[in-house]
Amino acid sequence: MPMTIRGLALAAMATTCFYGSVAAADTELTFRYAYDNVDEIQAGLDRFEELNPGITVTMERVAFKDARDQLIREGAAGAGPDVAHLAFVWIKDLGTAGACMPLNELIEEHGIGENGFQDFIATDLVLGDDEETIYGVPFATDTWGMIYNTEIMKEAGIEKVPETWEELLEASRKAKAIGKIGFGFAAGTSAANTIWFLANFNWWSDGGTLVESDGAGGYRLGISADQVASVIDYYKTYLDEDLTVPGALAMDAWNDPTILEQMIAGDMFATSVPVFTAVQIFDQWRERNPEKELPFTTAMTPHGSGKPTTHLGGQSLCVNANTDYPEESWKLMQWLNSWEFFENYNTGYYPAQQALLVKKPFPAEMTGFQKQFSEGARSWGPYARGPAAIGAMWNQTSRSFGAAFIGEKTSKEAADELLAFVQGLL
Amino acid sequence: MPTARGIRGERPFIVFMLVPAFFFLLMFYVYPTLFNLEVSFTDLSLFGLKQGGEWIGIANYVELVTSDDFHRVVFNTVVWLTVVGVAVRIVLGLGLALLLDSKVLDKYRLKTISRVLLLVPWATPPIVAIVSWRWLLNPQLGDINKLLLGLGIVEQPIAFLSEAAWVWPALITIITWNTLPLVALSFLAALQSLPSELLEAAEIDGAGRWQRLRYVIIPHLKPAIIVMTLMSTFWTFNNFVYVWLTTAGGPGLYTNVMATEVYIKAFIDGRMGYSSAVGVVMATLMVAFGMVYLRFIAQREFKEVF
Repeated sequence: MPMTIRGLALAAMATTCFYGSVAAADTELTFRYAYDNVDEIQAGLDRFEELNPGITVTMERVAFKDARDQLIREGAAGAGPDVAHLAFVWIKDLGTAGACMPLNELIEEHGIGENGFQDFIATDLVLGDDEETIYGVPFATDTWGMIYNTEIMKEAGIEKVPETWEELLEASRKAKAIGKIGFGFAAGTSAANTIWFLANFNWWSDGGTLVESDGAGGYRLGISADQVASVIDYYKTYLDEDLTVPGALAMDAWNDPTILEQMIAGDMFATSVPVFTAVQIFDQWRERNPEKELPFTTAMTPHGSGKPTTHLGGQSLCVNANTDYPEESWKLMQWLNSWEFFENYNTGYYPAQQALLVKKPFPAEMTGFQKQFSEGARSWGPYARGPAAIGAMWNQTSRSFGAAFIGEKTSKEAADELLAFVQGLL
Repeated sequence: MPTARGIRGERPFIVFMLVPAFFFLLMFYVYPTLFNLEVSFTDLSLFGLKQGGEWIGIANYVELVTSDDFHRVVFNTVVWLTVVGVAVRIVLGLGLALLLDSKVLDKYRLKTISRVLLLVPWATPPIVAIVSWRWLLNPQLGDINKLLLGLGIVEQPIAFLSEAAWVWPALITIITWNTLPLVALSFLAALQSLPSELLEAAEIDGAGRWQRLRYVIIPHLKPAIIVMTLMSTFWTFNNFVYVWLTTAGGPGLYTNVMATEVYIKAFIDGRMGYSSAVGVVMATLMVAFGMVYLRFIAQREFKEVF
């Protein structure tokens, strides 16, 4: 009997050693992805494994709005995925917090992208405070544009696509007059809502900006309380006159199902969304109406006294500072930024590299977005480079606008509160 | 019966057996609590967790005590979420328990089915309940608005989760729906321990329904009411998930409560120190409430326990 037990123990040890050595041959990476085109991305990761025998990749999921906070917490605890999918504007904070590793050496040694790191757009957003250390790589780029329903335009006597904010308001009133919803937007006031974008588009197109460089290495407010208050009043008009989607104050996301549904169903005149959401709306409409011609047109965002301006947004990737496999993680970063990956797998998004962007034309119905990209998209620049965390400004903007929207504060009080908060951060 | 000497002799063994429990209590309750207290006196940032924060004394506490926003958050937490929320649950729970214990349900053989149905909301995870209610309350697509419009009760759909007049009632409805069964079942269990002779004697003495409820049933349920009020208050005051997933504290600050404020300050504004101070205030308020409640109300009812 003792011999039998000894034999079993030896067999177990041998088995453990054997499988242990087999397992050790494979590097197991974890890639945390936050958008919803999961099947395509998984297919791309499968292809990466075929191309790189000995490396396996597991995809983890996280809600995009939680991706930054999750990685910061993990970074401090020495955990987290090897490669993480994040927003452009989070990289500096994550790098400073020690959650994303410096990539300068890996870029120098192995390169990245079709034409190197300098060919990527918005690279200023992935640098640390010293403006030299690279903590992430821009991955895919995006901006916002307007979608208009052409049938509602005809029926309501709206002769042309609105070019200014005032024209949009007037056109929305005409749409309401024929029983349709005017300009649909999410006006919810949670911490990660849409009104932040719409407020900034409005301010920028009128020459204001919440944060600007003071030219001497510091940052300051670039907008007056009156300008802020007038934009609050502008969006409040839609709510007060029922020109936007009912319940807008309870919606936080631009792709709230109610907004998308009203647009697809042809009950809403206009909405403002990022490229991918526009593509989703058009695809869904075509699926429901296979024989008909698309009743939408796209255009640049409206403007005030200046030019129409939206943000050059997008996604970026970073390598976790706690990874045990920086070289293998870098191979994955290179694959995710390759043309083959965007052409075959991440097809719904536009690569954040100039050399690849020209290879990926916009469909005909997306010309408005294309124009916005090339003529009216600006970087978050000083917002991301300055000392005020974008998340904090975003949250306060939402709260201040929300307080004015429901009449808790006047728009002037809300504007003063917002500017005092941002000034305190600067 | 063990003698005092016997207990003294077993003391080392008793202490030894309690060591693991004390260890876990120290590690997972006392240490985090003290650490949180220490952080509340610093300017620790979410982005500087590795570097740590600098000692700033009571600055975080001064800021929150003098902040109008924080006053609103405390008001929301104490009045709307806790006082109104718990009161609604206790009153409805009592009513539901009385209904479930009534002879009417027995007469129509509905007792079992009604008790099973009562468990459904309780068995529903909060996230599922909240998502379902958000859809039900949706102004465009929600069934509640469709019903109200269909019956001609309203002319325009109501944006329950964004209109100031409706958002708190809607939020409390969701919380109540999901948590009422526990309260009702606790009261039902207490009701079933009420000897029927007592009610019969009261009836013979000429007590009407209201008098039986007031002088027989409620006094009998008092211990259960006290326990449920205490427990519901703790659960509700500290609750994060219902408010966050339903309104995220909006519109504006209208439904922001202390638990969501802790999250917003820590993980959106990145101010871990300030957020810890809010947490300390929350804990202090609850400890104070618990002590007062036990001292003045529970102690009177449970003399044999204290």
